[in-house]
Formats: sequence, structure tokens, C-alpha cells
Amino acid sequence: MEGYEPKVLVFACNWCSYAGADMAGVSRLQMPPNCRIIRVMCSARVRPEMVISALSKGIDGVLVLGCHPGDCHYSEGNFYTRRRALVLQKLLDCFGIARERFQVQWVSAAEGAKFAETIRKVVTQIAKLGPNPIGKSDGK
Amino acid sequence: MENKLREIAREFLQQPDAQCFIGYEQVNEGPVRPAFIHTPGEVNRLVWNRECYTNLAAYLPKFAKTGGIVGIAVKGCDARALRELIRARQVERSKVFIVGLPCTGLKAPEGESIAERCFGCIFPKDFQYDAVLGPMTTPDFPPRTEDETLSGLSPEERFSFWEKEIEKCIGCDLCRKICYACFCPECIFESRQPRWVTSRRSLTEKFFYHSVRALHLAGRCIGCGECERGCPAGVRLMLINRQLQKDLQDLFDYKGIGVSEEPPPLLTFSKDDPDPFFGGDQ
Repeated sequence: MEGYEPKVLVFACNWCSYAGADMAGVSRLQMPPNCRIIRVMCSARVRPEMVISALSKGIDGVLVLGCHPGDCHYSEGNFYTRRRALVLQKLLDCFGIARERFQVQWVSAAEGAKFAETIRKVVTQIAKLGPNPIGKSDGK
Repeated sequence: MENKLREIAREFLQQPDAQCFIGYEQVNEGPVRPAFIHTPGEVNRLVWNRECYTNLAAYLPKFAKTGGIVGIAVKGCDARALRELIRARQVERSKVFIVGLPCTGLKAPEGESIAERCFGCIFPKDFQYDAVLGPMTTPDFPPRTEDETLSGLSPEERFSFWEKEIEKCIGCDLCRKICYACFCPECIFESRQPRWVTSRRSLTEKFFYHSVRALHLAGRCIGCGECERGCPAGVRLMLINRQLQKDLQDLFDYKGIGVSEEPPPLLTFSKDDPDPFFGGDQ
């Protein structure tokens, strides 16, 4: 696995985590460049299908960032995210895919440091896991 | 009991607004199959025995907008599916005539023993049938000890197990079409914009199909096992369905779909749900 760089897809909620990412950038915190961030209006916008689709198209890990439970801009979106995420992790367990490949974290707009820390941690974990096994025998 | 069923169906079909009666028939000792009875004269085709596997509730959403009242024969497990269809407003309660079949366990495909799906059977509590053939009480088949096909494997072995299973899938979509819970007017697998799967059905697409199907059934599957019974490739779909329903029950203190009026667990939330995402390791 010489020179392997994982690809991590990040879904960040517009109201908290995306501002948190901004905060981390403005504060010039160092982060590994393996992340692609997609801004969504709410973490509950992320359908589980999107995560599975990303994983089956060669992304090595998906991270969903949302407001802290109770702080959702839409009052209760992230409570739904939480239930779905728990179920999706169980599904990945069932298929024998490491659950680190799909993670959720609550990052508020003020938590630039937590954002950088989360990205660092997730990228290290996924780099350790190696390339995503889905579709390897598919020639794709 | 069969005679009573025929009598009920005949009486129902004599009403002017009756459209048809959905039950089971068996022709020349062949497999039991669904029967659509339109006139009172045909009711003698109806049968009720231990090989009536099909979940007839799956037909109902398609009849929802056609007018007349549809009569349907349901076992306890199918009644749970029907209750969920009514709760999800796919079927109007006043447009169906529900006949309860007091099931005492279906026959396993081989031999005289009880079918796998019947272990852990629960009949719905206080569900309103329009007619019953006998008392609708849950038969006493306690849940089997857990299937260890999956839990006995390491994650890597589990992954290659599923890779082999999914490779067999021929992409016929039977598991989706036979399922009562797949009632979306526009299915994600048929949507063109965005297009999630193509007709190519490569291994990754089949992986996407099966994981999304399992997720959409999470909290909705009644465990009737029709998908696995019908699968022409013998993919062990129930392994994953059963595991997910069990996980949901453990996570959200949930009793199973259609047992009560509770909505499926993914349509609601509780502020006290487990939260492994706060800070610590996942």
C-alpha cells in the first residue's frame, strides 16, 4: 500500500459544520487534504443511498457532519440522521464492511478545532483500513 | 374451514360494490397460488391450507384507486403488513374487506415440519378483521436461537460471503416486486433523474441494490420470507433482513411492524436514542 492516499467524502451541514469548516480554515488549522466536502442544507439531507453510492463508486470513507442534537436549524433533522446512521452502521456490519468507513460527528459553527481534529482522526483511521473493498472484483 | 371461507367470500361478492376477492387456489395438486375471484360462482376455487405462502397484502396498493371494495384473506403475519399499508395510507380501510385466516404455522418446503418464517410469529394486537374463520391467536412458536451464519464469520469472511451471494443475483427485481413494503409509486431503482442504478447490474450495482433494499425494509419487513422463497438465484436475503430487524428492535425498543399502531422506527425519533457519535470512538 505504498503511497496510498484515502479519499474521504464529507457531508457538512450548512448551518453548523460548514461554518465550522470555515472556522478551521480561517484559524489556519492543519488538515490532511484527503477530504472532499459537500455542503448540504441539513445532515438529514444525506440519504443513506448517497453514502452507499459513494462507497460503491470508490470512495474509501464517508463522514457526515451535523449540528449537535437539539441545535438543528430545522429543530429535529439531526435526530433523524442519528437513527438512520445507527441503522446504516448495522448494515455495514452485516456486510462485513468496517463501520469506520461511515462516521457521523456533531460539529458546531464555533468548533473549528473539533472539525480539524475529526478530519485528522477519520483520515488516519481510513488510511489504516486501506482501500475500500467494494467493487474491487468488478474491475471498477 | 375452507367451506366457511368460501361462504364468507360468496356473501361478500354478492354485495353490489364488491370488486373482487383475493385468496388462494390450488390446481391439480400443484403449488398453491394467489386467486382473484370476481363472481360468487367461482368461490369454490378458494383453498386454505398450510401451503398458502404468498403475502396477498402486496397486491392491495395497486387496487387502492380502482373503486370497489376488495376482499382479501390474510394470515396473522400478512395482517401486520396490511395494517402498515393502512397506516401508510396506501390502502383505505373502508375499501377492503379483511378475512382473518387462523394460521397454525405454514409447512416447511420439505417434510411436515413448520416453516422457518413461523418461528417468532406475532399476530397483530387488536386488529379489526371484518370476518374470521376462527380465533386469531398467535401460535406458540418461540423465536429460534439466533442464526449464526453471519455472526460466526469475521468481517472479511462476511464480506466475501456476501460477495458470493450477491454475485448470484440475476437482477430480476423479484424481491422488490413481491414485497408488500415496496409500494413507492416511483422506485429509486427505476428513477431516471437521478439515475442510481443502470441496467448493467455490475457487482457494485448489485451491492448497491441489495443494501438499499435492505435499508428501505429496515423496520418494515414482517419477515414473511417471500423474497427469499421466490428468488430464482437463491440469494439468502432473509439473513440480512432478519438481522436488521433485530438490530432495530435492540436499538429503538421496537416491537415489530404492524404489531401495534406504532409507525416504523425510521419515520420517528426519540431524544433518548443512543448517540455513539458524540465525541468518543465509534
